[in-house]
Amino acid sequence: MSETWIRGGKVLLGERFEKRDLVVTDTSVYSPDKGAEPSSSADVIDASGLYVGPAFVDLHTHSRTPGKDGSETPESLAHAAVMGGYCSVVAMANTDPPIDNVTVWEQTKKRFEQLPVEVIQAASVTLGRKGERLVDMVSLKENGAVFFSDDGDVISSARVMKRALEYSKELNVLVAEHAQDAELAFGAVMNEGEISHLLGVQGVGEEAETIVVARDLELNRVVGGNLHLMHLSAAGSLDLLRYARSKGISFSSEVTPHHLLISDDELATFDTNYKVNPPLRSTKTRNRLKEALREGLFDVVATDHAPHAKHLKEQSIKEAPFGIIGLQSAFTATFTALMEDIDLDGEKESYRERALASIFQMMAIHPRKILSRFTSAETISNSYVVVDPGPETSQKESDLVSLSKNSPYIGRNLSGQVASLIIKGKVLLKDGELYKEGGFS
Amino acid sequence: MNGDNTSKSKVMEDFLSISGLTKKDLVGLVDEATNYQKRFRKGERCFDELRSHSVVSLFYENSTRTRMSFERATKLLGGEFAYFDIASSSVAKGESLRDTAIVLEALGFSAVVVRHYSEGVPQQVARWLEIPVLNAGDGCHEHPSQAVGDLVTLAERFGSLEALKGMKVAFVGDVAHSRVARSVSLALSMFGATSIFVGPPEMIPAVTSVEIARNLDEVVADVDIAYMLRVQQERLLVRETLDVSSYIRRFQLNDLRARRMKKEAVIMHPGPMNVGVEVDSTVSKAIDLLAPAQVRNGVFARMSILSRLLGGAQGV
Ligand SMILES: [Zn+2]
Repeated sequence: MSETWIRGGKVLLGERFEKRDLVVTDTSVYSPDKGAEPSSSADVIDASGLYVGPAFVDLHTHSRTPGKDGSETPESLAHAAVMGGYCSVVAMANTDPPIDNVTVWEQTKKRFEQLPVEVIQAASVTLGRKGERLVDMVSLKENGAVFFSDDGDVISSARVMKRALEYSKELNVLVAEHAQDAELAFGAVMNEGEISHLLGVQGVGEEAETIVVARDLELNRVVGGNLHLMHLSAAGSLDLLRYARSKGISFSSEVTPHHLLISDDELATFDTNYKVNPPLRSTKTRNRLKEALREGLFDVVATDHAPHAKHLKEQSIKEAPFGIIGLQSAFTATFTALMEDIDLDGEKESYRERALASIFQMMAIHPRKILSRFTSAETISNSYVVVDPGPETSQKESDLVSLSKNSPYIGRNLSGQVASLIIKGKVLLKDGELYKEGGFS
Repeated sequence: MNGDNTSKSKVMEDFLSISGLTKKDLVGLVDEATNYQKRFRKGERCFDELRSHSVVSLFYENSTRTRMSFERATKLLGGEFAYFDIASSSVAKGESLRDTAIVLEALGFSAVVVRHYSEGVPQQVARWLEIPVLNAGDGCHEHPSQAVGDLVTLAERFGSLEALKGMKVAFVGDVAHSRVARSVSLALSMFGATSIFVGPPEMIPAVTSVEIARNLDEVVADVDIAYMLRVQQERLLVRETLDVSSYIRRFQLNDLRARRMKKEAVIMHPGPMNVGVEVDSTVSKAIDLLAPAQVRNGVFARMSILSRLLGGAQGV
């Protein structure tokens, strides 16, 4: 039996932090009695001055397994997840070949079984992710698939999307949409706006997202299925979400750390590590996304971790693939974004705590809630992360453990650090370093 | 905005974009080019600034004209010139752009002239290499050496660069996808000229800082320079809905419209022209008169740029 004592930290209880010790075993979590001491076999984490909450769960990771481009392995992915404080990630289905049938789904799932973190394998919504015919959602569900997405591509046909939502309701599974009109986005490399005009680079406007968000919400008003809107990046989407909420339309929504922290003006250097889809938006929109996050409009912050091999990212901005890695830096990037442009005079401590609490809501509690509607995942309980809001560190490429290094944060100062990670009582990360090989040996 | 915040690329360690230059840089380059022009006219053919230097062109897009112009400039300055032309993308070969660029540096060239169908490639290459990088046109972004050449031509025509102050310049046609329009209009604005973008919505970037006209008739009598851009029918007809006859009706600079222009006004075209589309045959002949000067001055401009980058420059 694994047993870890987390001592002296401020532990998230509901929406607030309270100072107390925590004992995490593979089957339970409790606060020790006063004066109780850990057994000699227990691990002890000193969390004095640090914050403790449930480990993070990512609803949006590209594992690249199966695949042949050498951008990530299950092991390197898990390593990045551990460094980022994640106990579970949902792996997207836009692999090579795509996960569009029970056989591939099961084979891929097996590939992840021995990892120290849980990988929940998604299936695509349509065969070959072509957007035409639905996969056999019934059989996939019978075998355990609960997360369906064509991510990487939108489901262009309203008819197909409506049908998928109907099945999501009947089978009690989630359908996650990459909301971006494909025709409007055709050929685009970045956000359409002042910067793209200055650079002569083809852009795609925010409306490419909002029209699909509007369509999907309207479809789900009628259907009442389980709709998840991924990586929202448009100011107009925010109004649509508010409207849908007021009308009681069911949906969940996510935003990525990079859309909160980085604007499209970074593309002025033509650095392909800023090429991502949906694209980085204007500073104005980015600020609107941050406001919406603070207001609680988004359910989750998800990474859209998208590794790409170096030789592919070292192409022209036109040819380099979309996508940036994000698992390892998700907490720090989100925390940095939330602390940005906040005047900390006097209020620093309390604002910081509220920011941390809301990050735990969006990176740990809400994603769990969404998943638990469809599955009784076991790993994701009894797993805790300890974060340190203190340090500000310059991000170095050599610190990235993902096999791919396409991070937009290299050379940037980010606040906070994931200090420790405990999964089912077992310490994987301690003081920012893998502990006893982190379960990888 | 200067898009090149690397340790190396101070303005004149590479030549990447007009947006990365100051007015002073441009004045220096144009003066130097004018200087070469004068010496050339006196019969001088042997300049020494690039002696012992070898320049290589890395072109991912065909352009005999631009490449020849750089080659001619290099050789007039006493340097050697080599080609490294790539017909197809290196992606297919599993080689990165960076790998390709690094080979050129390893081969010992002094500078690399880059042309690419994607925006930003010269900037990327400049980040990766120690040797100077020159932009010979990147996608729809910039074509800065063309702009310097055009400044030389305009300074000659109007007497000085200062004469450009207060002038109105119409860029007519596919401004959004024209690297020439972007570079030339940026350069002219540094000398106090005002740009007007003339064209249908799909050809004009949605910028608020520049006046926009939807019909050439509205502006043709007011402008000092009409910069006619090539209509790339092959590009527009694929995914857009451009109707060529209505384009011609609204935007072609024909003889009738040309007659309404100011007496001193100049018509320019980066070439090659689609006679019958952006200009009619009468106007095309008028442009032809200026074209040799543009081509010649393009060589002097590139001599000026090369000698500045490779250390032989005098002046500013
Ligand atoms: Zn996506």
